[in-house]
Amino acid sequence: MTPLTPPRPPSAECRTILADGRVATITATRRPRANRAEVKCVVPGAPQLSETMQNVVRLARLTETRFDSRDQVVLSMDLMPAAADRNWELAAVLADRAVRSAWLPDSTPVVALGWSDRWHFGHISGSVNAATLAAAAIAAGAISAADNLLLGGDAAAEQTLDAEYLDHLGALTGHADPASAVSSARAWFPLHSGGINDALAWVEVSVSPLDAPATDEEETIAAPGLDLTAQLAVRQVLAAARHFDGKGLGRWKTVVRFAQQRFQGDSYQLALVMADRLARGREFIPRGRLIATGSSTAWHAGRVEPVEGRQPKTELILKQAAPGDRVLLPAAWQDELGADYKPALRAKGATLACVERIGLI
Amino acid sequence: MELFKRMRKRGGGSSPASSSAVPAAADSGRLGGEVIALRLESGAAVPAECTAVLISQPSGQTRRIGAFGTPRLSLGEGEVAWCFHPGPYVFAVAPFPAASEAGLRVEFLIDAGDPRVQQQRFDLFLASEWCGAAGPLTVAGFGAGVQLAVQNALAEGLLDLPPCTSVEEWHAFRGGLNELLYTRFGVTVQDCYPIDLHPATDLAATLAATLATYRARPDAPSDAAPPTVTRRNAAPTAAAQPAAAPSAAAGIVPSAVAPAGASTPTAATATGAAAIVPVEGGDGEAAAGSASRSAPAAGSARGHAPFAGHPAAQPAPQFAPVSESAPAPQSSPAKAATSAAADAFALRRLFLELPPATTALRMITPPASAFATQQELLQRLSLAALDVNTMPSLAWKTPGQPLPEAAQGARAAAAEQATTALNTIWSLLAKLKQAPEADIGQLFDEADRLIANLEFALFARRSTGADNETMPAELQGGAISRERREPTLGNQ
Repeated sequence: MTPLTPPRPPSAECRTILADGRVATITATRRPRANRAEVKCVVPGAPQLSETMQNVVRLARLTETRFDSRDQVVLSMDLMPAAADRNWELAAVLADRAVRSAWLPDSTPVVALGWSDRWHFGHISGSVNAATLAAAAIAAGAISAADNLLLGGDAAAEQTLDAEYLDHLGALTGHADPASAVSSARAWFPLHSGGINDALAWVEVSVSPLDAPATDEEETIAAPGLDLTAQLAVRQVLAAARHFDGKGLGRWKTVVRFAQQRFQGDSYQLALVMADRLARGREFIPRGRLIATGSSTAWHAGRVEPVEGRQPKTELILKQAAPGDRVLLPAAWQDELGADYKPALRAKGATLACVERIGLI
Repeated sequence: MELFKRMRKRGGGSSPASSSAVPAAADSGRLGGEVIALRLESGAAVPAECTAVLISQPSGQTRRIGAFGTPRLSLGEGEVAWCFHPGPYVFAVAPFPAASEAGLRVEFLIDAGDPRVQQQRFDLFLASEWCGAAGPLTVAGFGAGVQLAVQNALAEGLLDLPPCTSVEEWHAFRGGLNELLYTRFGVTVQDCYPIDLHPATDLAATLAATLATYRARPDAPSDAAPPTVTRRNAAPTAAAQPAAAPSAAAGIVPSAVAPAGASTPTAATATGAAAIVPVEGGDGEAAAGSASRSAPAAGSARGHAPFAGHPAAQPAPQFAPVSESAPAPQSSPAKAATSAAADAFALRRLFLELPPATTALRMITPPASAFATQQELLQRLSLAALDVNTMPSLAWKTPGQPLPEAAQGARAAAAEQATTALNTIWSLLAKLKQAPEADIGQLFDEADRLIANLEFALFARRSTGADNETMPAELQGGAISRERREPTLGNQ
């Protein structure tokens, strides 16, 4: 049996930027609950704020499935925000998740800005000045541009900032928001750029119902920000994969976004197709992220073909895998992976499948 | 003497029995098709091919009577009778709330009783979860419960059904599903395969309905203090236009805090779980019922709501979130009656099911290294059962001091949270039965977590709303109670 949780750190930190530009740190620590409350918040000299923070964290916990009452999480904040400032809320929620390993940050330190009136639904709102605050803090040197910057709300028009935008907590693992009228899901694929800059990048597919049947499936698919060749490739892949699905054509408007706009190759295709199936509610859903690499010349038949760079990509996936993740690789790699690759992934809680074609079994 | 009394009772009760036999006859024709089990009156004959289960309501004890020789039922004091048809039955479940078009078709039957056990699991299910219900146990209603159990087990990681399932993973899932349905409901899965739910559940239509629900809200465009970034209309394409719906449409309603009468379409579309579609033999009732089933509180017409609760909204809070999507407040007597019924239903389930769950855990053979852990888990489960048996009544703080209504609601929510933990314990027991020895340690750790959650909820059920309450050391799990205290002679 794969482990359900990774080892839990004794403490976790998450930073946020206050309205006046100072950088506050929210620290979460864990201890046996004994007979205490399950969440405790400490902000020196501000009992009202502590209580608000406790409520925020408790409400955000309602969206988790795995409830563990054995631990007490103590959250503390080193600075005192202004009364109307609520951008620290996301940082408190993420620190609470990180210390219980309910969420594993890709890199630290984490800087998060976001607030919500609906934490119990997992919704995160953003404010327009969050990006401004973050840019100012980077310019002033208070935080580094390489920090893991998470902003609440949806991606704003300006993409100048290298930040991740979250509009609900499920987006941390790429799941669709059940309460939204737009179903959007993410899948990750390894980007190989020569060793140190290798990273997992995501592709997000958002679908919404089509008002009137379209004449051409490719016209309903948009990939803003990509150059024309890449846009055309994305459209052709999705249209062909939906043709294979049988029930996918003529029902959806689609927007595709990538974590990074500039990349080469077509190894993102399997991730794109799987994200599309997840968003359209026609695929079983992994507990964690879906990590896939593979391409095809015949998506209308659902076939998956190998791509280049097997060695660095599989190593990167193994390094980044977290419990609950699902890894999909081309079937042609099966024999070259080595006997210990699959057990190594299982030991990290992820499952591996080498697929010849997409779809059930 | 007892015999004569029974004869007299049967003679006297014959006329009401015959009058109530008219609706039962309509239902009994559906037995084996859409209806799994049906309540029988005293004096009624057990229908052909069916088995009657006589349930003693105070104690939950059950006995079976077969249809051989068409016996007539004579019920004792406080007994009710249900008869069930062995099946087979067919229904569809959506294993993931977010993937409403990917489904599983499950075919199951209720097998002949296992002669080695004292009480069949299906009888226990009838006694604890369906005994007080007014209507018959339909396939659609049963399927809703199965769907919740499967969704919860998948979300907890006790079952695994990843995308692009390989053949081995599918077989492992099938084994786990068979064991889960047998351990939790007492039914035997005959066949199960993935199906496409598309024509019946249309995600595009669901999303359009969500959008319409959101737009129809009186307070739709919320102008909150910090200006929110509108969803996705920033993308410079025509394709993204209707996507401008802010994510504010009603979300998963945390079941334990959603008062009865929550607006049904909102909850149904929001959970995206209106997905139970009987593949065969279903009709309009199932289609109409799917909405009311995913809105747990809508079951209040039955007096209690079996299968209330959504897996994603699992831990019931001890505080009421201020939610704009909360429906208009009800009159307080109705609310009090609802929470009292929910509380009584939850406590009865715990009272009846905790001892069999303890027995099932005792039947697991642990590796030598985990023996002490198992003993400790058994002891804590027994203590939890004792805790349930001595639970104070809902409405009173102390004799002569009534509890405020808000605290009563919190107590009822805590009781439901305890049943959620109980449901997961059954799923875990199914997993434990099949686990190889190497995994038992990790699964016992899961059991430790679930029992801790159960204790946590039971303690909240006892609470009177005062601030400075602490769990007594002998009732709390975790490291402290595990430290063995040596007996001392000194008087410190």
